[in-house]
Amino acid sequence: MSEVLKIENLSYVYPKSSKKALDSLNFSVEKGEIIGIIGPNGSGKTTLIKAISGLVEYEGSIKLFGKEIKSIPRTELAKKIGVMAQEFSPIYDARAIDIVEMGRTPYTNLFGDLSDLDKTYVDFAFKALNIAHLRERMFYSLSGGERQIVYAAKVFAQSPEIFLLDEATVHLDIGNAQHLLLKMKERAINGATVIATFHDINQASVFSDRIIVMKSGKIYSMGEPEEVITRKMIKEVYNATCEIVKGPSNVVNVLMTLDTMLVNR
Amino acid sequence: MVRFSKSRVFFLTLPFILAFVLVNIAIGPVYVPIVDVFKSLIGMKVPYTDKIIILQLRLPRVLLGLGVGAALSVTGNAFQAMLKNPLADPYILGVSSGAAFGAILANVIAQLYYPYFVFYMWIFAFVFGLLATAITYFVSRRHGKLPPTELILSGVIVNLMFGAGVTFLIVYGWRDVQITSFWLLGSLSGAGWHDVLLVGISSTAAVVFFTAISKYLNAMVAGEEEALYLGVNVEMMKLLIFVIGTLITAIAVSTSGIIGFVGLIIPHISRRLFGSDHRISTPASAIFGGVFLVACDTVARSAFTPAEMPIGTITALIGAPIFIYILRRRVQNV
Repeated sequence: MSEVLKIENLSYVYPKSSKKALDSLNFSVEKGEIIGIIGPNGSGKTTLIKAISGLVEYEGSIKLFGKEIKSIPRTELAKKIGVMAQEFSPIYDARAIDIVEMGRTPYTNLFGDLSDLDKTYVDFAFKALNIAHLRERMFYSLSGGERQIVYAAKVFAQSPEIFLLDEATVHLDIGNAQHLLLKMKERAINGATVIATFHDINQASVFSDRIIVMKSGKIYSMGEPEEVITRKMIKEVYNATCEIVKGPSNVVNVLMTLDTMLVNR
Repeated sequence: MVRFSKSRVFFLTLPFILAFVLVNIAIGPVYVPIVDVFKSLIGMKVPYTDKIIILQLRLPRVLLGLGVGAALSVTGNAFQAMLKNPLADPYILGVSSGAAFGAILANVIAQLYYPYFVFYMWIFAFVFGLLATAITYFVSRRHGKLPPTELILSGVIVNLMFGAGVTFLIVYGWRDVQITSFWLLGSLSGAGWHDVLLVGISSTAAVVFFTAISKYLNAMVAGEEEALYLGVNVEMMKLLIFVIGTLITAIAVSTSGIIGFVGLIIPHISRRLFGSDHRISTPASAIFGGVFLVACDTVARSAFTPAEMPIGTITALIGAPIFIYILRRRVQNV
């Protein structure tokens, strides 16, 4: 296994703020790994995604294949890292195919002409996500779930080596979320690396090889899902009371409880 | 976002544009037969008065209209993508009125103190256009975004402020309030060949530039972060679009005053017809913008003889209802 990403002493303070949004993070990611990042609102998950995608002026070091992210030109970075946020909302409507073709922006010439290779990647993205039938549909005529899958196809077409998902499933129902996460898993099996933030701890648990728990800009714990997802962690990080159960294939699940007897235990 | 078959459409429009230009030269307070227009354009002999009307009055005017219409439209199209706001255009943002103020300031200085300042007209227009956009931008900015309503409100204030400045300068400089209508409502009258040359060069450059950065504009439509994720140097692009758009507008305004709504409605119509890909919508905006302004000018100078309606009145009468329509349904699909 080879190291794709190495993060050392990563810190970041938002302008006009005294609190550290990211506070001396250290971890590395192997090729083909799926990393889930969980933590309460404001714990620094999104900031971490922004730092890795080169959007913020961080302190410390983020090395992508041994190269400091800051020193990589934007177009080169866009060929290595694809980012998918909660939703995609262009101001103009366009066909799904136009949106997916946008993913090839870092590769095309000045005039944006698609080469045969570019077209192959676009076709692949539609096939991989089973949405060939949406190709000619207008983006805003699609349902919320379909739009997010088209958005995913755009990032697939970008063919990055690392997929960064920033709560990409948060607005999706269980069916669409499952579809998207399955397809991302397929990418990881084919050698891509996936780093994804989650609100839903159970999605993170079922999806990730390794989970990073964040609290107030720091890493609270890190490890395989069954190691880190514990009652103690949920209590200390989220200030919530829950039961942990083992589901099929040993996946740990968190069950929220509203039973006052349990909550006050 | 390519449909190359559409690019052929542009070549098919060329003969129509040529015919359109001929017709518009023929129409006016004095009718000139189209045959004579054609003859004089290819250098054949026509009656002397007709020749003067065609070559010295109407041809430069029509060409200026094509150039100014194209300049305002492609700039509006780029501003809308850059600001992620389908209501942005040089007029709404206050660039036009800032530029008009600058142009008149140079004129007044030339009139009262240093005559050679008249040559700096477009430079003054550029500087004050930049100033006006900067004011609108910073007044309307909320948490790094430009909400449409805030943008329009600050644009209105900037427009009123520089509009008042224009009137003040004109009355101060010439003691004549009549000239204000030329500047505040725009006019292609008095178009000379030097104006045509200046606007011709700048508008052509604008169309080439904004078409060349289409791929970046396409990416910016989904927001600055999405554009960054696709490898676009967003800050650099914004600065380029902002400065070049203002320069192009300043040159257009210094020849023809403030003509509103063209930069807003033409890109909208082009996107409706040809889709939102900037590689198509930019040249389409240039063509429609030019044709639209020439048509408006023909109405402005012929329909109310012996008086001439300021062209901005015509564009506003057509543009304001379309503006309201876009505003009402701007949430998506614009």
